[in-house]
Amino acid sequence: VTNLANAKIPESVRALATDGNKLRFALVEMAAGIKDTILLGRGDPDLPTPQHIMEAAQRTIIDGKTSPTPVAGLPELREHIAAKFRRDNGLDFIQPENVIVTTGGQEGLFLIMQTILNPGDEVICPDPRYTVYDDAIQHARGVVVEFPTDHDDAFNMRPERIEAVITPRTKAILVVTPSNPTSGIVTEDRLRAIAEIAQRHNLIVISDEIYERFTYDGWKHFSIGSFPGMAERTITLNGFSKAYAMTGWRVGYVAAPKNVIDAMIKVKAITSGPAATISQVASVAALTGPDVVADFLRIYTERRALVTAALTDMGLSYSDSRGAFFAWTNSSSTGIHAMELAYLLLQEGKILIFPGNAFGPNWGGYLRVSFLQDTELLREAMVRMRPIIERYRSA
Amino acid sequence: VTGSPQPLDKLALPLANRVAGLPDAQEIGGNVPPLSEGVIEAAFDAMKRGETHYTDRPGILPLRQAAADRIKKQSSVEISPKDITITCDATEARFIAIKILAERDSVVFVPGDWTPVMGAVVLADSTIVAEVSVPDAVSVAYVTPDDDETILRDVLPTLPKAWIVWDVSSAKNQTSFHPAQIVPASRVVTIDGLASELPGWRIGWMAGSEVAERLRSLKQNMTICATSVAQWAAVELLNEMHKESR
Repeated sequence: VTNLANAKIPESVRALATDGNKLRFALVEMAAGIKDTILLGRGDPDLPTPQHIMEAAQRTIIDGKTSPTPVAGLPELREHIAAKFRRDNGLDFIQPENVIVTTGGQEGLFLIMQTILNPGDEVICPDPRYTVYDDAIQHARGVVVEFPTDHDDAFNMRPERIEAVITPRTKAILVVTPSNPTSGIVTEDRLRAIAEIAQRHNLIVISDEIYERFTYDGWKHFSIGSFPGMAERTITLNGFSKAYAMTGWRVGYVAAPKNVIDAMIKVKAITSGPAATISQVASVAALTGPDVVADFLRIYTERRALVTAALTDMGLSYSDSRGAFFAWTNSSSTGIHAMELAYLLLQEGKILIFPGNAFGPNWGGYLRVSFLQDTELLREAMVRMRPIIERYRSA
Repeated sequence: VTGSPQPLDKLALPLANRVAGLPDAQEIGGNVPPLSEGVIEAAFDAMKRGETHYTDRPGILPLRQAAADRIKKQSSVEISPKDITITCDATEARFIAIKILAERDSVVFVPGDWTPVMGAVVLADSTIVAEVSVPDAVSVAYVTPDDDETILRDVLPTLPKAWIVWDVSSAKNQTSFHPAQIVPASRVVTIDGLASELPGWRIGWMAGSEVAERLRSLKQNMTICATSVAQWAAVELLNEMHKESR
């Protein structure tokens, strides 16, 4: 790929090329100023929050039951989350006291790192990844240690690569399955091998499972904390944002041994206090109401087929998207750096797509295309995208 | 894979050293004031409009504007909405301000009640002092309307490196004083929130200073945005309060 040669890219954006978080926000803000842009950037489901969830929030407002909950979360919600972990994830030993409700999954990550990392402690992370992990680790004065994942391996995690980067300062392994941005999953055999490594080296596993409900083509999600010997060393992160189209409600949750949860409660009391009460009540309704996630999955499956067919038609290859709702698309055949291409797609095609280098500097030959628009808009986005890809490829 | 599962309450993972110095969580509790019909309607309307997704990173513009209006009315200090970030209660704003502005191993000057910031100062690897002996060592002055204004007027201008965090969120006293009246506004972060009026809705804000973008960046990394429906309810509440006071 070229080295960001396009002079049209504003210097303010170009300067952010190695800072994934800032780059994503710069593009989102730029897109906000371009009328009729089709947003395939942010991982924010376009589907509405289901009605029964909103009605639960409305009832609690009318009843005036909006006083702050305990910092750890609404007791009823903690109970339902613990039951969910036991029922859906095989985490048989999770009780409400092993759960903290957070203000979104991202806060869970921040709290985990503040709670377990001393300065200089290393966390082994897959490359590419959502770069907010890096910030959370660095705010705790920890150190990110990367290991590569590959397109040819559908961005599955290779246990031997994890073991190769373990040092005396290694404190934890970050497992993200399904993955943002690659949509890869970590298969059961690999997870078992990672579990064995964690036990042999006495490491903590932080398992981010926020996309667990969305897997395709028969691929299954497994929770590493459910394997023998892992309950005591696994911190599992999840949330309501992605599964229930509830990004604006800001509710996530973490399950872990009690001493970790107790410490996280202390940190959370300082950093933000309890999550909003109406959001927690809405989350109870999400867990106890009709299974809307199965309907969402059907919709995303249809969209995934549409997008991947269009990408194939454009001559772009993509990683096997086994989970989540992204097509991690190899754009290197265009000969243009992904940031440049994302800029051109936004300016010329009015499509917001995040470039791969927003998820790590090694990924300038990839785009993350989300499925989070209805099929009509997705189809239109693909129509707008095609001539731009073809024009620059032939150039 | 080896090992036999045990109940998780019997298990313990090694924790960061910083956790040992933290106070126990203080629960908030308290009575909830009745909501006006307008606030309830604003929340319901937001849901109907589908405002249940991430908001803009700084928070919705009408709420930032309402916060700017409130600051101006309190102290005649003008802060642009573009330099205001909506947070999850003033708690989050307070933590972020201390975490970003207090330099490691430096001193945070707190002339009054230090309990609201004790934990944040621990997490920022700094130390609280109630009196200033070495002005150069102070990286942050955390001050509120409950502090003695004479002391603030005497001391704040003598702190050459200090950022001023002006927290009005839980002050018992009202004052028209604002630190930006005596030190450069670029060094002052104003914190406020709606913990009294909308306690469980978790809406606050941090406003102003030349580091507004850095503060916003940490907020985004922590919690992305405040609850969207709550932001719309807060706009209505602040507008109603503004009308009543005119």
